[in-house]
Amino acid sequence: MARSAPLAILSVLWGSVVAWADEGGELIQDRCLGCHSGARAAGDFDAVQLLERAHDGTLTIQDRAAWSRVVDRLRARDMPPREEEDRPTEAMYQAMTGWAATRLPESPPASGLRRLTRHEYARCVEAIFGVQLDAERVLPPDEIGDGFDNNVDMQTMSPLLLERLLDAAEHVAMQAVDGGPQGASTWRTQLTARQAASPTASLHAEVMRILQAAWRRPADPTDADRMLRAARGALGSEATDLDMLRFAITAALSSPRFLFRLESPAPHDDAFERASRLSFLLWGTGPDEALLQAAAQGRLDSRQGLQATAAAMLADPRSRTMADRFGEQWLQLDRLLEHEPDPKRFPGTDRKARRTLIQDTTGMLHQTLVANRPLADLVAGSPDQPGLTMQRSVLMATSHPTRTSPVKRGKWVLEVLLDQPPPPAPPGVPSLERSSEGTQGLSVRQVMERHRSDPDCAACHRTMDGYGLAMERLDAVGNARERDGDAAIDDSAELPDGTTIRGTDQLAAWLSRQPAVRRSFVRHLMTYALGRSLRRADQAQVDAIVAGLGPTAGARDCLMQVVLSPAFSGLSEPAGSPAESIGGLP
Amino acid sequence: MNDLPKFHRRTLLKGLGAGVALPWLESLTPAVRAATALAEPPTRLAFVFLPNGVHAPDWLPDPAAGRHALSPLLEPLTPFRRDITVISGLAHHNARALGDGPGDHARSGACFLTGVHPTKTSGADFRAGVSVDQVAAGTIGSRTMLPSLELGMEGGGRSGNCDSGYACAYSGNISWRAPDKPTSKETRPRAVFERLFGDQRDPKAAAQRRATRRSVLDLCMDEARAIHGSLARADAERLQDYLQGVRDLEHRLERYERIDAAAREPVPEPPESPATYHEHFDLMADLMVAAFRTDRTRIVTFMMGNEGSNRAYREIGIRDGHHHLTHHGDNPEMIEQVRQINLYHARLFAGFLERLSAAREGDGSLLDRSMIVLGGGISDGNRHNHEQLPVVLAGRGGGLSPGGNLVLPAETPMCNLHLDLLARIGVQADRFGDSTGRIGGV
Repeated sequence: MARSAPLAILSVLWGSVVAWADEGGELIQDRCLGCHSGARAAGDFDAVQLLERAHDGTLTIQDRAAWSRVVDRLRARDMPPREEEDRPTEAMYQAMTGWAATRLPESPPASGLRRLTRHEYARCVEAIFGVQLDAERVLPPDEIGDGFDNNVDMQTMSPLLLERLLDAAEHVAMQAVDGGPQGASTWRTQLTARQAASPTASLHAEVMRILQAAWRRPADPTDADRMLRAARGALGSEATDLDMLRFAITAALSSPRFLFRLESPAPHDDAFERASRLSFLLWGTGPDEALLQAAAQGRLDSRQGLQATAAAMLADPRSRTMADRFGEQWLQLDRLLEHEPDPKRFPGTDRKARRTLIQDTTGMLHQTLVANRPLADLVAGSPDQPGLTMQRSVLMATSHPTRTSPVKRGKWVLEVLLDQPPPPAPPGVPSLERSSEGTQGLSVRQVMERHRSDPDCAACHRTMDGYGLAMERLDAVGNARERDGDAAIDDSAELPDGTTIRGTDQLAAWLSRQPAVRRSFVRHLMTYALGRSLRRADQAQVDAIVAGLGPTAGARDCLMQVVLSPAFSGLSEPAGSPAESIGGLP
Repeated sequence: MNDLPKFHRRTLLKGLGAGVALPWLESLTPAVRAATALAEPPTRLAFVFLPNGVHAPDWLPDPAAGRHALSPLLEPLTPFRRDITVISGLAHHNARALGDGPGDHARSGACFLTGVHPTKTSGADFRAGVSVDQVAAGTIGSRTMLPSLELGMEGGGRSGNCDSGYACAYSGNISWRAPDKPTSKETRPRAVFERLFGDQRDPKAAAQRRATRRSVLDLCMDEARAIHGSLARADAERLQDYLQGVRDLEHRLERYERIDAAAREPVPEPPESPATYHEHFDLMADLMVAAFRTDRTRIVTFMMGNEGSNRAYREIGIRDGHHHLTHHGDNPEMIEQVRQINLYHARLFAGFLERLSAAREGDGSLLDRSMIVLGGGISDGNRHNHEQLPVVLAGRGGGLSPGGNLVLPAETPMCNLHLDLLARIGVQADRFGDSTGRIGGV
């Protein structure tokens, strides 16, 4: 390959560094430093020293952001710029991306001690005591990391949160024992039945039962003793059994053994921890008695056993929680709760209605998982169920209050379905309305075309807008329309790969053929299942899983591979056997 | 659009369920002073955060216009022009890209009170710095029931990232108790009320509840200690957070017993869901004043919106999102809407100052004992610049002597103001963030 003049000079200056250990790094030097070096480096990004450190393996955490962008741009194949005549081949890109990705500096794995998210907390107390808790009202929000609220890297226990958790525990204890607006709690009903069946049943046994459920493993009798002693001490000798139980429930739910998911350091070797992970992933709550029993019997200790259990759990209606919590966040629908379409123009889109729309979409995801249908079906939809890009929830969440936003829709397709987040807009970027005069009466599309005629904007928007423009026939709340402003709708679009399409049907069909959708699903699912930002080793597992999935692989197949992955299950892969291919040849 | 709702004290008192002036406004001061045996009433500190910058040309003071001339967008503060200093020239260098590319909103939020350049990440390695309010709380917070109070108008949490690869926690929090620990904020007035005054309804039951809670906390402490030993180091550190929280709560229960009965005088209960942004703000303002007044805390941070907020202020006739509008590209209609939002925020802030000045304490008002900062980490929302930050300093607490417009040399670190406020509230520090010394002239 031809070297440009500045690079030749650089090579001289850089005599010691030109001999790269392998091809990827050399390619980056050849292909990137021509522009990205020196005081007048393109985009103000002088990569010389960064690349030198990458080569030496001395990139630091401080370099992480800059180097991530290098990896991202290479992964997106949009550097070197698409206008360049001598573009790297796909093989070259793979070599460069692979080399760059393995040099990304990693922080040491964060603490694995995870606390329950507010949603998990509410699901747990509901499962154990039958008490309904509105988590979003009662507890402060969890911080989101890499798209999910269960990211352990972001978790803290603020004084406010701890205080709210105690309030919640007291509230739950009261509701469990004394009943709430819905009458007696299921737990109280069962307690009464247990006492009727066996009048001598002791308080101690009941506390043991509570501790086992709340602490997600067999209880130790001395724990129950301690708790009862403390209750007696606090409440005095006149306290009734029910007073004592209220205290025990409050204490059990405030204990770190409930609030944190205690796991031994990797490699995981504890079947109860595995049961807990599985249960929080699939049901959003702690394991029930049957699952704890399966763990005790060793049924989660083999890949076959784990897979069978997971499949049975997915078939259980409780798995809807996973579709809701994972789906809402993967599909970025949670923002719909805060997003209010202009009520004058779009009546009937209040918070409750928007909540229902979210559930329609996550319900569809649930069906896809349970029936093990291919992800392509989720994207393409069926005659009686619009595909993801035609779901009202998605269309609304990616619009402005008053109008559509092809940019937001395009960005959504890139981030959610193709897992290729576009680079962020540069500072001081002119907004769509920049050219103030003469945009009146123009369609969103026409205004955007003006915007894109600015070469500064064109490069990025070309990778995003096509998807959004193809969706223009559906307005800011997902209603079909024929006109936008004074203009008839034009929903033709050119996609970044050069394909020209028209309308949402053709877009959905195109998307449903993209293998990237499967990768995106698995990558997001892995992040959610592990509950942390993915490290390099995790990315490698994602790659391995995706490589083993064929075009007809179903959504459940993807989920099962995540469950079986060593990072999640703590079980090693069967020795010597190549990754099994699922759903036809890749 | 020009017909904005006027600030009406009556209406919001009705919102609080009281038709007359709040009871604690008249009667509390002598009791509080006696109970806490203070020679001087304490100094209070509050930071009120403006998201998305402002329309700077009409917000920043015009040096030619005279020392007491308010800029057009600060006109609502006219009644308090002798109680405020409008500062220009402050900058947050660490909110700039510094090689990290876009993400000015996230950096504005994370840097505003920390002065630290946050790590660009959407998850792992998440890090900013300890904020000025938390530094103050670390020293003087133990004197009150709550070391500090964190409030906001919008909840956090949203999937995807909030700003160009930055985790949402950066734009949703201005208060940080550790570099990797934002202090979560409360957005529901009723929840704030419960936290501050919830025990007032049935004092006897409340006392029993506190006693039981202490036993529960003792048990929790034992549990945590038992587990602590078996954990890996990083996990044990995380459990420390829990242990610290338990200790804080125990401390609070103890302090509560010592609060004088007069300081527990009933505070009206706010409604569960405020109907409008205006009412929501006013309820929060009432609660902040009540918290100061009863000395539940002396330090408050309050976000009028999360940084980058795209709220549509429909109650003043604005249908598009705030953030969207700030990128007006010189479109006069959009600029006008941004101005209206800025004016609206100034008017609400004036309502907060009015409450503080109406609350008598000793021979002055609560405003005389307070240092209130109104400001943001972005100057002009359209330009995303971090110099010429919009900052108003109100009150005479800590010896402040408000004096109209104060023009500082360009690029004076915002942290110089933070360092000065720390000194005034009794925290001796040589440096804070990128400070170069205490600000002069306030």
